[in-house]
Amino acid sequence: MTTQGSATLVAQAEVAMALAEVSEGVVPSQALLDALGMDIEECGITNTILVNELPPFASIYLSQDGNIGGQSHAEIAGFYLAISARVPPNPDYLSSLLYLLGQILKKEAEFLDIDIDIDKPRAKAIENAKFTLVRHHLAPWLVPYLLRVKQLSGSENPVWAELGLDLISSILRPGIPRSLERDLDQPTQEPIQAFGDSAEFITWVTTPALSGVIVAPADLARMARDLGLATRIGRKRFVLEGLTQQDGRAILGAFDRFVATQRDLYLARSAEFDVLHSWCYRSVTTQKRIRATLEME
Amino acid sequence: MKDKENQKLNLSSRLKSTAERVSAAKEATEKRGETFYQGPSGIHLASHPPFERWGDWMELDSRAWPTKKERRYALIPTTCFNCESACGLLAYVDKDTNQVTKFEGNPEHPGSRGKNCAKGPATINQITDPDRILFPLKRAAGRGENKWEKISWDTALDEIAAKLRSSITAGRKDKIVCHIGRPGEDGFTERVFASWGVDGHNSHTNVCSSAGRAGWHYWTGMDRPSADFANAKVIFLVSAHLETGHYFNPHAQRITQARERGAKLIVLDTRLSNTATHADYWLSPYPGSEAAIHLAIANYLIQNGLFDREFVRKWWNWQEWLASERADLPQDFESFISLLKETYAPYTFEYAASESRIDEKVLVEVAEIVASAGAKFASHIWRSAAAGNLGGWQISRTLLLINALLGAIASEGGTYPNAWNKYVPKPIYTPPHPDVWNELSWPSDYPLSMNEMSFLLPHLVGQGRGSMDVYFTRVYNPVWTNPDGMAWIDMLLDESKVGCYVALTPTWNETSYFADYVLPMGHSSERHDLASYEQYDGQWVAFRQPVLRTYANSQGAEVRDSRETNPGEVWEENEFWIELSWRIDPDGSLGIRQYHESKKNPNTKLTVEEYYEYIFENSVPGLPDRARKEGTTPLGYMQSHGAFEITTKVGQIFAELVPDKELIETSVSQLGRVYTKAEKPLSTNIVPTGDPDPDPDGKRPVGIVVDGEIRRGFPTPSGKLEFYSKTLAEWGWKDQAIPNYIKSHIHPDSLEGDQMVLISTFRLPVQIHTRSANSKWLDEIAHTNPVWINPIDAKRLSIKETDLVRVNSEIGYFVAKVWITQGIRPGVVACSHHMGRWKFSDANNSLTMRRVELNSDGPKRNLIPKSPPQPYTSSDPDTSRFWWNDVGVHQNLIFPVHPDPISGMHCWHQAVSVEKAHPGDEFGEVHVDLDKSKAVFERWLRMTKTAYEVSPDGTRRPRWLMRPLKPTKRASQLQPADSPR
Repeated sequence: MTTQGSATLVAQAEVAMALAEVSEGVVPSQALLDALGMDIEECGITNTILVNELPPFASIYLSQDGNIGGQSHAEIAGFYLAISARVPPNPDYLSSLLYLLGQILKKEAEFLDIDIDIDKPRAKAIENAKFTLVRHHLAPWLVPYLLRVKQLSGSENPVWAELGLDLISSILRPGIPRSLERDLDQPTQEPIQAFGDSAEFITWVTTPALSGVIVAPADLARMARDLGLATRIGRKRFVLEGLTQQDGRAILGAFDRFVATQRDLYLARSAEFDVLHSWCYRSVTTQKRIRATLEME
Repeated sequence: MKDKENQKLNLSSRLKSTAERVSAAKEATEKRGETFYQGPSGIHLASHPPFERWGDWMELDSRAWPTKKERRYALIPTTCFNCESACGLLAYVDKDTNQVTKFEGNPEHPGSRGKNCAKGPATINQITDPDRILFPLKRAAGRGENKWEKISWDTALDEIAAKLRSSITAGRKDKIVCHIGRPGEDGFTERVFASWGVDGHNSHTNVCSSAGRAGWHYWTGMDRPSADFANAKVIFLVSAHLETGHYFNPHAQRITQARERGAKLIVLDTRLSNTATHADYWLSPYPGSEAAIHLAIANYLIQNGLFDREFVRKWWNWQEWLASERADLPQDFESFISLLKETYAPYTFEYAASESRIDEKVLVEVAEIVASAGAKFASHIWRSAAAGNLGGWQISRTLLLINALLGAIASEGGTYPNAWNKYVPKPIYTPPHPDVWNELSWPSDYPLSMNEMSFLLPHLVGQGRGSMDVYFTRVYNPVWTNPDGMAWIDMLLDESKVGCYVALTPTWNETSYFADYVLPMGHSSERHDLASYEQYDGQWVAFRQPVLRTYANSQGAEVRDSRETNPGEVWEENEFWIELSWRIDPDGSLGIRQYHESKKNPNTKLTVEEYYEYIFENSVPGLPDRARKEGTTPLGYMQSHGAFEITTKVGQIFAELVPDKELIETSVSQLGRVYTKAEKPLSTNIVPTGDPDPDPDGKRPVGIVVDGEIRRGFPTPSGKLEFYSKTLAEWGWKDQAIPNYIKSHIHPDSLEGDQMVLISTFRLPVQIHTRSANSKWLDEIAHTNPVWINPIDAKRLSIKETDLVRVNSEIGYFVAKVWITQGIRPGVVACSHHMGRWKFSDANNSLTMRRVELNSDGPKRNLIPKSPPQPYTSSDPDTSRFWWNDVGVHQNLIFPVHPDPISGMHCWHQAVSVEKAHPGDEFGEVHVDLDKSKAVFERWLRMTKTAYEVSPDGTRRPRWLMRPLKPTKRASQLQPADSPR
């Protein structure tokens, strides 16, 4: 018998897996696009944003050392083992994580339906795995990430980004403790200081776990255009190096304004997603450091 | 605040509606066989080509690598023919060569769900086997001399038809027998014989599963289990069923599903099978003690009140037993429970432990887990223990006792009777059952046998009880498969006993060497059949078809005979039987032809297209509608999809209320059996079940009164689950009328000093009875059968791993290699069947069969290996690459027949002595004494109670029991003059 609870879980699983599919980077089936209310053009734009503007789409955002792989990778692999699934070669990226979430939700729904009491602890473990995955590995970066996707897409309501936010909201809503973040839950306690040099500034603003902002190449291109600076093609770090070499002060000013937009973005949804408070806090810290640097100069 | 809540509601409804749309899209996509969620890279392979692209599927040619050469395929579904379960296959037909290049799973098949075991893809080996038989052959020298001439199909058909016609017109209808190995289509061959008016169907079931079936049949009126593994809480397998029996693929995948959800798996198998290695509890009982374990568990449930009282009260025929056993007690349920407790009290865990030699604590633990399952207890038994032991049928019956106590009968996660999870569509013709009884197949010595006593044929013929004018084998190899193969060879060599022997076979086998005609039959992609087997709580049909014929027709050709597209002149059986029937009765005067004529074009031959068109249009509910929606015909749908699911969640049919329209002028027996004058409603599902007798007024049984309501009940005489079998009681076996423990013929009490038990009832899942040897991939995986022996026994007998051993049975010995392993318990040895293939010359069947010489000296027979298989050059370059030459030993030759006196099942386990090989012994040699084998047969025959002694009503066999062909009442009456004793 399907319970109301399991029906909700199945619906969540369905959406998680559908989102995994459209964030895979390949064109999904028309049937899926139709079901999500997306057209092929929008899917293309979305993938362009993922691939060109906001890579990598993985929990690197949680890591202050900014490495892909390593601890998060190993931790996420553990979730696959929790549901007796094979660990994929690359478990830590958006599509993979959403698919994993879908599988866990499905598994949880099965346990609810079959009412097996020989293995109650296992059922509870599945539920715990879901909350831990979402609280520690998804929500802390995916919420601001999806807000950025929305913002960069230029559309009022890119369907899958909004659905992703809905999904996380629906999972975290019922009675989940407030303090969710893992790496983000310990805001830096050091006194606010100006950046020592441009290298420190660049490292800071390109590490979302430090800066509280997710910078895309499009942001840098816009800043360059607005400031009349020449830009170059390359990774964000190199682009920023080129820009600061041309006019470091102007770039600091541009970042001051950019960080403010990001903070507003978080504030608008912070009632819904507690995790955004940390991002807000960090963005404010970043802004203060930028202003301290500007004042010093 | 309100805005915020509304916002949340909106979000929630958006999520919900999106999920609904995605679910609907997923369902529609997956129903078409496509994979909806490809998943992130690396999580799983995109499993199957989407159905829409089966007509034109592109793959890169792996052999052209690194060039990217595209090859285009048409994917045509069929079903596997390499075990009974009929899993779906997709044949990849190369559009350039018009040949099949590979087989993969058919995702449209609801039983196998796109998955296959190794046997399915290996079909490609069989159809491209360079040694296969491609043309009709006729013996060109003495029988058994292995000299052949190629003949035309016309010649073969005319000559065989003439012999058959002669027997039929001379009234020698009991002289025609067809021995069936691999079943093709449910009921097809039976109907052919019915149309000829002969009782000629002779299955292999009494060397296979009839004991397992008997235990079920006496309880339920149906003859095999359909466990709902996927939804079970506890799975209890008696035997290594998953790998040794059929259904490995469909069952294993569902057991895996259940285990992922936390279901417990308990396996009873003396040998550490692959299944046992995956179990939560592996119990290795002393062979034959399984029923004692079942009864100890049952007793635990009974004594502790852990059973479903209401289920037992409503659905068991406890009243009959109580009245029979203790008429002095009040005839109420409480008296029954008291008597039940008293009856089973001796079956303690201590007793079971002493019989099974399993730690009592483990048995208690297992019983507690079983008790925790409630109605989600899925049990399964097929061969193995049931097929190994005297009284093996009680192992099956006692296992079902546990289900019946827990109410786990046709419950979700429980065990269904197969007939409710199976659909046999009514065909275009159903000829009447014959007015003749074949005493060779159904001897009066075994009135309760579940199936034909086929393995006794040489002995019954040898006793002068009859002979055969025409004997067919159909994908069957009794010389190699049955016990006592040397007796079979003797019978086949004697033309006064077997007038004409016709082997219908896709490949050479040990029996076909003794044939007069060898007629080549198709493998799974070369023949038509319709299949439906129990694999979950649902009903489906699957279509086996000659895929190149279907492909050719889709390209505009007009192929109307499978020989046109099959290799050489390989044919399919359905067309063969229709053609043969016409040649027996060319003008229709014998009344045979009418059942093989077209209805569309009277006086012309029925085609297989019309045959299946009729079935799919008239007898498969829902199929015509589905086909219409896809813009095709029902036949077109089955040709393109390969399978159709008729229904799921069949549920507890026994509890359904009988509709009023079926209740006309009813009468009710004292025990609540309801009889009606209403005609049986027409059903398009003709799945066989028990057929209880009408009441004295001729009214048919229609239901059973339970708590004042008329429910459908079971197809048993009482209409209930027959805990007490009045049939067994009335036919001379009152002491076995309830689930009971029979000590096996290999019980320790029956063994002599140095004897051990030999278990031979297992094989690996890659093996296909006779046809394994013609599948190079499968043969490479498993090709030998060393004798498993425990290190304790090996030490006692001073046997080392490199030694050869002699295994001595009552009638002879074989010489084999050994494998010293703790996977078998001390005192027991094991040797896999399906090995030790042999041939007379290198000319035929070069693949993985040892060349041997057969010798005889009075009653003594021996098989001496001459040369092992060698690599050779053929159209298949792989035949020059064989690296193995050990093909095992043909152990079945040293097994005498052991017919169970009740079920008729051959009891396979052997009491043997094992010793080091003697000087001069060669690996693979076999020695048998036929005088001894005859003596063993006669000893076991004396254990029976013949129908002449025990029949309560003058019939040869209880009429209600299932039988493939059910002779008329007249023919079913005993004729005292015919008594063989």
